[in-house]
Amino acid sequence: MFYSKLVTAFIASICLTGAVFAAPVKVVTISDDFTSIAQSIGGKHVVVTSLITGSRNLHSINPKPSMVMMIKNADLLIRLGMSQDKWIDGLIHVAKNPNLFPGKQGYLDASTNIEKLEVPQGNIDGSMGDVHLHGNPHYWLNPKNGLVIAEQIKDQLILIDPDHARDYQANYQNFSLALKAKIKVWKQALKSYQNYNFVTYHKAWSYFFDGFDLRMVGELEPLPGIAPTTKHLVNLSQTLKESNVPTIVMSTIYYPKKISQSFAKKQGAKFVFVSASVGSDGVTSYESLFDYLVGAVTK
Amino acid sequence: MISILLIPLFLCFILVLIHVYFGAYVLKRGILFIDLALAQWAAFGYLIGYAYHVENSFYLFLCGFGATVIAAFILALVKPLFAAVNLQEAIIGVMYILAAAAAMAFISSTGLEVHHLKEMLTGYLLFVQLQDLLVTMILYAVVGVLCFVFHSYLFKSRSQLSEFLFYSLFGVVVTSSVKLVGLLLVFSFLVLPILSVILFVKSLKKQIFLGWGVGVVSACLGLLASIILDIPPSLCVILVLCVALVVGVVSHVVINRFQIVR
Repeated sequence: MFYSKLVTAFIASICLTGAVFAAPVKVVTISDDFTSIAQSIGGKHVVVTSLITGSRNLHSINPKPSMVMMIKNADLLIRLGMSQDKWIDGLIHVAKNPNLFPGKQGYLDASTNIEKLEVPQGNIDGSMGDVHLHGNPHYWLNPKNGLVIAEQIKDQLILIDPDHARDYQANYQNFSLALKAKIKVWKQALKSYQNYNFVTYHKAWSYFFDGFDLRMVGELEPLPGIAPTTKHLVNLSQTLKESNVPTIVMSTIYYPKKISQSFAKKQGAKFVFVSASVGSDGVTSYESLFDYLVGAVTK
Repeated sequence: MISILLIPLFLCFILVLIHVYFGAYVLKRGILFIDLALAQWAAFGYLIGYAYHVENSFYLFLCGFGATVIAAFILALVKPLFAAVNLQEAIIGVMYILAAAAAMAFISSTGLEVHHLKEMLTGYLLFVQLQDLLVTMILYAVVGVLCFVFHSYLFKSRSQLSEFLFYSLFGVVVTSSVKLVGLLLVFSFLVLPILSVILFVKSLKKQIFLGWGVGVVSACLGLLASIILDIPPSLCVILVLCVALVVGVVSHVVINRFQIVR
């Protein structure tokens, strides 16, 4: 009895010393946007890798064996959530990392504290059309949500690695101050576009428009994932003509370029074809993503 | 690393066993796209299930399977008309288009999300769980026994009933396999092993046995390649199967030349 206690104490002491000289916290995120934020918060105490790099449609990913290994070895998994990245459930089940199952310490659904847009109200039935059961999932495109994501990551890192809580706290302060200052700059730059009509291909930019008080008039897709129909496009261009203000057509680089481009041309509108994520088109950090986006709109 | 691919490997073996058998039939009759058509009908069936909030996976399977039975019935019904003018494949193509268009139209009018339809036809070999493997094994064992019992009837008889029986059995198989590993891999397992040996052996029995061999070896090599190259496993298996076909064709040509020269 006594010996077993001694052994437990011994093992516990090893674990404790182990924690002091601990290897960096291994963080795996769904995309480079979250990786950039996690890196800012974790600093030198973390190693962050992304499952997907660049601007890709996060719905349709064909998973690779290396992704399973990444999750198997990770201490923290940061996912998009809102049932838009179901393939990550598959990865979690195959990897069987006990710390990374939902509800465990190493599992972070980054959408948890986000104020979600376009959540269908009441009883959902077929007649309502657009059913994104949990709302629009492109929430990282409002920089204010970047603050929310960063705070959640900070809390989770402190939970996993309490020894460096102070550093995480400080990094979070720096990150949020810098981002808040930038938000003012971006808002100023986009101010003169607030009376423009914004049209997108897919409903991917709602959070961006919400964050900068821009007016979203419609999408080229009649319903998410359904290719544009003639009647819908005619109606849309009618609406644009009646409102009599300049239009900007905005689309993400993984949607068909030609349709949006020719639509923009017909309206005499500006066409903005951009990456929605860190990692493509020369965008290297979450902050510079908005420099890039604001630059593309105001160019 | 290897351990995460064990279940996918076993699933590939089971898929090879049943699909090569059906592949022999499909190639013999020249109705290659029957699997695409039946899978699309199954996807349509699943979609209707989703729209009416069917959540039990067995009932969902029944929705999918029910749709394939309807397709099987239609195909068997019109078969004598179009087989006479050798246009059976065209009708199968139409059945595919019909189900695909109907499913899209159904989505656009109900507001379901499109990825429901896509998921039905992609599947992920990497994510197959032990439970999926066991269920599939039992299902295919039942189908396998039925095939064994009715083998000569299926392959020799040209009656509408035998046709309907074949389509239904095949429907059960495709409905489950396409959902697990995707259309591309299912089509590959169906066609490629038999195609790569058909130039060498004429007897159906030998074709099936050799096809099994090619399929099993390709699955092993494909999964190995997926680890080394870090490419999604199903794509690797498909590419290796294609290589097997090329090897088959080239060696057939070389052997023929050699015999002529001698």
